[in-house]
Amino acid sequence: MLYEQIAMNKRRTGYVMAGFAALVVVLGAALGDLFAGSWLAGCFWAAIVTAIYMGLMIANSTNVVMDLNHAQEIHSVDQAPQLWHLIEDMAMVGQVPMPRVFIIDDPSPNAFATGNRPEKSVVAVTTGLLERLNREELEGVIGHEISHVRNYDIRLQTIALALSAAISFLVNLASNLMWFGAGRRDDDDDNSAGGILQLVVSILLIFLAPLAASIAQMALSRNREYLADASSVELTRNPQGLIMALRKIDDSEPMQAADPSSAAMYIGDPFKHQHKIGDLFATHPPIAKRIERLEKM
Amino acid sequence: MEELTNTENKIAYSRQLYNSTVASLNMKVQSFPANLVAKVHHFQQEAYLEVPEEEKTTPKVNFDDLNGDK
Repeated sequence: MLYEQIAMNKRRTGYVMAGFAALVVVLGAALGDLFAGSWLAGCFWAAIVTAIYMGLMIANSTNVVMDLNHAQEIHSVDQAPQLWHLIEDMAMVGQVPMPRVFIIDDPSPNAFATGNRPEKSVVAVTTGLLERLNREELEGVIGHEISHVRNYDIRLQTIALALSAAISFLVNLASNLMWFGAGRRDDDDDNSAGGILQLVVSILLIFLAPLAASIAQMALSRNREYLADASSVELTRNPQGLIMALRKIDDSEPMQAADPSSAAMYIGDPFKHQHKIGDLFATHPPIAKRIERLEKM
Repeated sequence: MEELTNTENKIAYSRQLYNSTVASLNMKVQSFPANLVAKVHHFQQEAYLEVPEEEKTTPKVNFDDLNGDK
């Protein structure tokens, strides 16, 4: 059951990433066709823009994220012995290097992990998490975060963010070009039905791409949450701890110190948005559904 | 108390890690195509680390005795 869930989640992530990449290329093709008269050139430039965005984001994500979320690094075991020991345990059993440890001064219990490689990973927890959760529950949460590190979820999140940034850049470019009337050469014999259809499809694509990008990004982060829950249980061998922790995180007030752009990284939605089940734009699956899956293990 | 809990957890998790590593080794040695390589190089299945029942019980620790010495 556990391993099936992990395999299924990995497969789904593959589909979403493939769809995402296809979207960037198709959008590039539509743009190229519309403005430069060559869809191949469009694909080429879209790929270049995406690569640049990805490089920029991977280069300087960690410290920016920590500052945005008001996290303070702790350097020794004495500053938070229980937390430090639990992170040590989970890193050992998950076979990843010991991450750097950060604490966020916020009474609402929550936690997240970041870093592009397991060697450079970071785990951050709120003071509320340390105060309200017992050792068993805390262990479930730390297991979840170490699983994000182990599954390369953080890198995946960065790549998804770069892809959607590239898409919105391309779409902005397109709408500016349209505004200034730099349309496709109109002296050609383009008045055929095929030409018009092609034009309509291109324009539709440009408008729908940002929407598709954010849906794909959210779907990706929801799947990764389920996967990290399952992997946490693989590490701790104790679904009950994580179930109780998720209940406590769900039943608490919204966070003050969290940054909206990092909301998807937290174990529970830090702003407690009310989403209907199956909502396409939710960053997190409903807690009830996560608990239900954990109870099946 | 934290020190004791930590030590006990470290032992338990080390055992868990050892056993899950043994499990994946045993699976690999038996399944195609790795089993062919394993046969050529004489990789064997390993035994799990078992703990006798009497050692699994939580040891009772009493700090009261120590207070007198201090």
